[in-house]
Amino acid sequence: MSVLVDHVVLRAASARKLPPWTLDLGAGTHALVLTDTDVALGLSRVVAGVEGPKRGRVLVDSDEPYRTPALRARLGIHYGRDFAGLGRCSAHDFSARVRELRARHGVVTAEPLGLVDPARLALPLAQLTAQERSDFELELALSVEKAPLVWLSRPPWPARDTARAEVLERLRRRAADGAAVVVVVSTDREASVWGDQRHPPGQPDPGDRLRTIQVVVERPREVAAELQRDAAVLGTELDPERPNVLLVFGTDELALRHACGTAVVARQCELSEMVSLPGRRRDASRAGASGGRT
Amino acid sequence: MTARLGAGRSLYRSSLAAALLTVAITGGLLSDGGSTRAVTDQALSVLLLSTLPLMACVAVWGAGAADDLLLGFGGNRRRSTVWHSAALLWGLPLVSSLLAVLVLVWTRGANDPRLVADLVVTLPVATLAAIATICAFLAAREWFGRPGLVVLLLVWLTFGQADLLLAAALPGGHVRHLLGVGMALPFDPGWSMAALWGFSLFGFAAWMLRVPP
Repeated sequence: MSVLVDHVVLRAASARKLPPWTLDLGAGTHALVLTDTDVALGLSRVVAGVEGPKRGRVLVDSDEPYRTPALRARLGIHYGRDFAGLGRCSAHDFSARVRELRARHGVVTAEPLGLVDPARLALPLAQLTAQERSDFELELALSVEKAPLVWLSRPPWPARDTARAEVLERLRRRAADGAAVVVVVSTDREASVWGDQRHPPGQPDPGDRLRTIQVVVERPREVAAELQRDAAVLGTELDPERPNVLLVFGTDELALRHACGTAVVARQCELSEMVSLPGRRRDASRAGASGGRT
Repeated sequence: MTARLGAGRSLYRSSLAAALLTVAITGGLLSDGGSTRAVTDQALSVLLLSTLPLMACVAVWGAGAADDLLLGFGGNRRRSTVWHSAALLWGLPLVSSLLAVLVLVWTRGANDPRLVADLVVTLPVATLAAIATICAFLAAREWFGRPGLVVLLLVWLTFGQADLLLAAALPGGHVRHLLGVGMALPFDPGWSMAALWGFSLFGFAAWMLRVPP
């Protein structure tokens, strides 16, 4: 499976002055770092075939998604769709319509991951929270068997640990099946968490803010040791005055929370509290970035 | 940034403007005096040859593009585009017919014995003229964008109303022929009705040809 973004110029006003996009992606997981939200949205819509590029073309296995409905049905795309225009259509009904449409094109729908509470699926999409709508869209994107391309733009971290593990497992399985799995992220740190290959290649953005998560947990030393293995964690720090408090540093808050939750579960410790603290600049904590002060 | 209106709301606004324009023009023609038939013909030709293209241009300009969420899941863009523009496709002919009825009743008077016969003859012309016009403007936007709408409007308002044989290449020439206004074309009015159908189908095909599936 291959995805070719061939000299694509986007229609978004903020993207018009940028040079044309060219990406040639094969099977595997790729992280695409795009700091501009409009550009990320525009590129995702063009790749999904929802809108045409101003210039250039996108090819998935030598077909253009913009001109091929059957191909669009086989793609697993998440880009933060605006479900507001659907009125009173429930998530369940919309999901059924998508399944029917995909079936018409001969696409096999995978078992749902259950990212959204089934009781909430009966509600109109407009009544779901932003997180639930995003989870719902992620569910739709991951529910295509043999998808040639899975493209997730700024995907949400599911709230439950098991769901996170299932999402990552399904992405791994899609990549193993030969799909190009592309995750659009905004920081270099997120890129290292999501993808094996970073696009476009380059230096990390020095402007990333350092996020701090304060975890109140029993046996914080063990949790800190577990966190050292996680790529999203730049460093950890114990508070000498409060024995159960552990500070965890990184650039992506969601990834940090995910890492903390996973570490607590892995060490079978009891978690009392997990809160975000005001961030610091990354340069102010280089010691943390190079291994931590645990 | 210009707000993208739905096709229905855009139709509503342009219809309101067209109705006001029609009332003002017809009222002006009536106050100028002249024979009833001349006033009716003039008012109808202004409605179908000037107000109608203006209304179509404004409605298509403001209608925005279809943004169907199912497109990304394998939905057909052509079907989605037609569905999105459905309000224009049936709304403009309806408004055009209603305004034609208003013009006829107002200029002839409700007691005129020939009113019903005139209505029967005029309504199909008003409807077909509107269908041909809206399809042409939708195709122009799809092929050439908003500049295309302006160019087409200028062509419609100039060549479409000229006393030239060239006007037969546009729906306006056939509408004039059917209304009996200006230079008569060298064939039976029945051919002009067929030509209006042809323009409608051609416009619709040209529109759909430009929209990928």
